[in-house]
Amino acid sequence: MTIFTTPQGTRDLMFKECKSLRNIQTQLRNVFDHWGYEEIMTPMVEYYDTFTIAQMKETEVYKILDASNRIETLRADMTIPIARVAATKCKDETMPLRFQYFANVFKVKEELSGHQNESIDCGIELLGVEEPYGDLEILLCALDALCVLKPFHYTLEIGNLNFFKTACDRLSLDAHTQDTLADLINRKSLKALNDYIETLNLDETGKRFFKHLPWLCGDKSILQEAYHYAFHEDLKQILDLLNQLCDQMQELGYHEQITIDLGKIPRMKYYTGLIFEAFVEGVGVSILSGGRYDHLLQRFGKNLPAVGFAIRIDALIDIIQAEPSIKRMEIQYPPKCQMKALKLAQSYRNDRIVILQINSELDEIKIKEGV
Amino acid sequence: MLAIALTKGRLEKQSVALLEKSGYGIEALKDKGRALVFPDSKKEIHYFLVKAWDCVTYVEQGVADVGVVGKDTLLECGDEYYEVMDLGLGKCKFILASLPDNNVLNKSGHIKIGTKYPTVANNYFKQKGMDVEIIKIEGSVELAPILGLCDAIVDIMETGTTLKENGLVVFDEIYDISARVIVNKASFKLKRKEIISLLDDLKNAIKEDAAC
Repeated sequence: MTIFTTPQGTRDLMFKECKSLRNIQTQLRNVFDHWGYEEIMTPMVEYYDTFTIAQMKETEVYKILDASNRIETLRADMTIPIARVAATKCKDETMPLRFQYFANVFKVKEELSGHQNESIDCGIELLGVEEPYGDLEILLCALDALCVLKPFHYTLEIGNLNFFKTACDRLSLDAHTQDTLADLINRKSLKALNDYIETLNLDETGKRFFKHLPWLCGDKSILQEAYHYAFHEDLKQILDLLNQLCDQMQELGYHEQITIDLGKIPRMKYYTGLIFEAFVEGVGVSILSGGRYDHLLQRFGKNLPAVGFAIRIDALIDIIQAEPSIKRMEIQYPPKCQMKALKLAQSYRNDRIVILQINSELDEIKIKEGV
Repeated sequence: MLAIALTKGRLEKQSVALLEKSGYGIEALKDKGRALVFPDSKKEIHYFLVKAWDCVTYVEQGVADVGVVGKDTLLECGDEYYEVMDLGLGKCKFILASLPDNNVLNKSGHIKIGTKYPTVANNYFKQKGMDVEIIKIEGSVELAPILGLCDAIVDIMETGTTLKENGLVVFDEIYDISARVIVNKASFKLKRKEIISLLDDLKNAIKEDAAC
């Protein structure tokens, strides 16, 4: 017998899971609305070029050939389609632009690894606001959004890609070396990192910097420690900026859940400055990630600074329960009383769920509350 | 509470010994019986024993906060974890070996490589700028070149005895392998204190070992 299943890395969401999902979406939409972000929807498919111009990895995107033999992809994230929209359709609007979206995105993951290929995302993008003003707004909005996790232990971890990038530039490291270092530091693969650093032609300051970078994470006090390794004025400026962000958030009463990781170097190549991720107890992967991407829109023809984040809602549905639903009742009726039963149901349906059930053994309508 | 996944088999005894030396209460792990999950008698930790590949999966999914697993497995699968420490246990090497008259590094034409570790073999030959065909073999890899299934093998070598007994020679050493501590990314952020203190304890025990 053939059993019909869903493709690798995809899943069905059943009743309770959908309810939980809708509950989370409603709360998040409420936050985004109140910050003034407006919703947009883009097609599920995009041209392959749109994603490759943003340096998306080829093996990560689903590809389809369309009728005219052009390659299309299932969208692998929403930041890139929004960048396309902003640069082509909103180029004459007054800045800044504030977008919110709720969309499923598709990325090909290793088979049978327990990772999902289709994920249910939502997020916001803030376009046209420079560093550091946009950064603060986006972080505060992320922290407001994370309030859906209130009963749980969670953390929003902040870093700045330029701390690593600037160090590499000042030490004149070539692109290949930078990529290798970035990967090892990001994965905190410490043995391999130390071995690799020893093969590089670096002075002691440089070696010390890269060896310690994976450990420059923790609460805000780690920034003070980081100053010891900041061997150039530009590096100190980046730390100043992060310090200022933390102080501002503290002043606004948001400091509790914030931690720092200066060794965070995301694989998405379009990031240019601030980067952040959120983790929650009970979920093994990051549930929110974002950052600044000031050069991406240029690739679509409009030079705009930008910052944003995405939340993986599907990772949250197992820990966040659905809101208790409104009252339910069941109206059982014999076939001859159908019209009467429907009229009765009509009168109740305003403020409760009414389920109709035919029961030929009955003589008249029977109402059961709270089923 | 920390959940630690230990790799069954070759690494098991050594990792348990190291934990004991670090002052952890691992009696349950020594006298296993039929249990699958073992509580620590001194600390807020529970251990479980799994196969190497599963160790990575458990950590990636966050079911285990910490895992102890060989670098050979890490090179072959996934990278959604932090690899924070080299325990220096279970040392061995990835090698390229074949029959004495068949050094594939000097051979031209179509080359077939038998291995249990296709990713490692693939990356190695990519680095060498060589285009080879990889054939996945599950066990007794030494047999493959002898019977002519492939030209050479990429495999793990501990002492080299098995290779020698089968008349194979090592043409290149690819990568040093030892047991590593891996940590789930979210756990590293959310249970930072417990994890750092575990790493410190392990580090001290290794130092003592080296001093002896």
